[in-house]
Amino acid sequence: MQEIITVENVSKKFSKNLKRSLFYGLTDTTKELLFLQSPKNYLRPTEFWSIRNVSFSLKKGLMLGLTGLNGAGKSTLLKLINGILKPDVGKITINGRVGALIELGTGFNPILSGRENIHINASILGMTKKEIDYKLDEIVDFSGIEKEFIEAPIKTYSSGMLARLGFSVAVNLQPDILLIDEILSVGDVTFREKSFNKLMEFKKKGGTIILVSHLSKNIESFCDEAILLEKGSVVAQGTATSVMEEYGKRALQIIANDNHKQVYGEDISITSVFIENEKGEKVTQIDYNASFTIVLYYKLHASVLHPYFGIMINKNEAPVAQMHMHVDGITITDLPKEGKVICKIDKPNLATGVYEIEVSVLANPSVNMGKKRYADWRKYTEFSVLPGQLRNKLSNISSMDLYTYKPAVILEHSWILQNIQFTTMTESQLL
Amino acid sequence: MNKYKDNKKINTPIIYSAENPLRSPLKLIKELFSNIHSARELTWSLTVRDITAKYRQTILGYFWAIFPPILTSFLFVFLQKSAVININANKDVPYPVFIFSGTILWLLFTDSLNAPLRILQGNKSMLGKINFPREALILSAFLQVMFDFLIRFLILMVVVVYYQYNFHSAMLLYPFLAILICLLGIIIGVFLIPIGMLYSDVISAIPIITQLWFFITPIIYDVSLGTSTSLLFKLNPVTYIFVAVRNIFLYGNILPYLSIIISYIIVLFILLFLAWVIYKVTLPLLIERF
Repeated sequence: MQEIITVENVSKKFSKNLKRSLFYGLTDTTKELLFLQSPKNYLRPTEFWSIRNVSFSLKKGLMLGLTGLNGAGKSTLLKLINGILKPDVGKITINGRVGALIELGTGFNPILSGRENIHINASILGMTKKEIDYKLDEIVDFSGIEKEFIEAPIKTYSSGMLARLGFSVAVNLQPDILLIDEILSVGDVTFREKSFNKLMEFKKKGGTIILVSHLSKNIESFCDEAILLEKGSVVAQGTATSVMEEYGKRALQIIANDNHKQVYGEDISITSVFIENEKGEKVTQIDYNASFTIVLYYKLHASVLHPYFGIMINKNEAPVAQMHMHVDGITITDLPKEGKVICKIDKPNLATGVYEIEVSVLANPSVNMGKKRYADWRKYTEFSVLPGQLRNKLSNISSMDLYTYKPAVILEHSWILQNIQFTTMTESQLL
Repeated sequence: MNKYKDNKKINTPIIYSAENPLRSPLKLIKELFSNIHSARELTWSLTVRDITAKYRQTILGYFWAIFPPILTSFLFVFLQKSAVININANKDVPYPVFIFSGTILWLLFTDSLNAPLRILQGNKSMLGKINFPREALILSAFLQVMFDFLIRFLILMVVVVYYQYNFHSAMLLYPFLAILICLLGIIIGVFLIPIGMLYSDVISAIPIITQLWFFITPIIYDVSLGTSTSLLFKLNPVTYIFVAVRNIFLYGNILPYLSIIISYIIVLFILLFLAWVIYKVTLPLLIERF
């Protein structure tokens, strides 16, 4: 297959200081206009590399995920590929028409109608008038905005409607390469699902996609390849699953470093939270459906009466499970000044992915004069669930087809099929 | 789905590199012209967007396009009539016709001068998020400024009829000749972009400078009639084209001004090309500093 995008040793620098940045802008433009080819491969005072020596290539029809923590340079790299920013070093070659969804609804004007704004937005994104006229109905349909609203000024729209309108225009672009920056989180679940399906349709037709996201579910479920950026440099590159595993590890390391700084609640502080596997080893990754324990250490600063420890497990910022002493009917009558609390979880049934652990210590309001919490809900650590035994099952079937969204929980289940003919996995492997 | 065939398939690869585009001038020129081609439709929709948006949220609508020149004209007509000032003007032309034809031309010039920076500032976020042919913004600025001028030109014709000034066919050339003044303004505006986009000092300075400029340009008075030898007039690049364009409008005598018009066209074309190259080369460097 043909390499559709090639990025060779690209670097880009920015200045942290406004006045300096403006001055550099002035000197750079002057140099450029004087035909000078200034060597840019070094940093001037206050500058830093936003992207450093990044190289990769992408074949036609594949989907690449760019991931990394905030400020890793994902968006900068996308803008470089889009040609909005000019590289300071290196070269980017693109074989095809590029459509970029870096921001939804670019060029929208609040007092113009939905229909008028579709025209403007689409032509900014590079559609021809013929193309827009041809697709207008499809765009309106896709957005799900009622006919009576499409002629109304868009300042009467809700933010959800605006996002849907912007997205509808964007996904109806039919470029060879689509660049997408963190915008897939718009709208409600059904709209998101629709949008993803549209993207998959685009990919099936041979479209190439680069997706920027810090959500592992997006990268793992949809991308073939991934690149993990850290402070502008590539730290992991390869298949989406392997890169996301690395991302999980690195994210945990950063969180672990953060945890050294103890956070004090008013009366009680949680000094550390981690998980242990069945063998009692401190780990950051567990296999699918393997039992584990959550261990938390605390320190008292004042005497507390009837504290209730609570643990919450979140995935992609949404709560998945909660374990609470109050709910379990446990009342602590005497808590030592320092110690640990362990919560054992059997057969968690958590799907693969990265999970966060939040802990809080609640007070019994009836004995504490209305005081509700000794320590507020706070994220302490993360862990990831690896496919483990699930891998054998999943690798046979395209997991993308299985889950449009990676779920947080896989329930213990079985199918009861009466009077229905069916075959087991071996044949569906043909997929 | 299959009915629609994409006619914009790109066969040659696009390359973004750190290289100075001025070092491969042939490629740059080729790019300039292919950009113009793809910018056409976008130019049009941006123009329609900005003009409709500007006037839709008003009661008086297009009246706002003609209000400023009418006010300025009234002011000077009043001052002249009440003999507060004594302005040197040709007595054959009704003063209101003289003043209104001048103010709308001047307004066209200052609007054009401001337009490139104004439209770039207004679309900052778009510039940083989408890669569209950047020429579309300047072309759209040109169309918007000319649109306002055309409305004012219609009012000028009403004024001409009202004061029973003798109509002649050369009057219809006015909008076309005005394009030269518009271009001059836009070119100066584009030259200001590299500094103006970085430092807002430029935007603050423009109104002050144009205000002074107004008085050293023969708009409210007629320079060809009196003491026109002042160095200030001679150095003012707007003077010659201004006098030429307006006098053609008022008196219909094209021939004496033909050489001025032609030399302006030549100079403007060279400057336009220069401005375009500067715009093209510097804009990517400016966008990252927004």
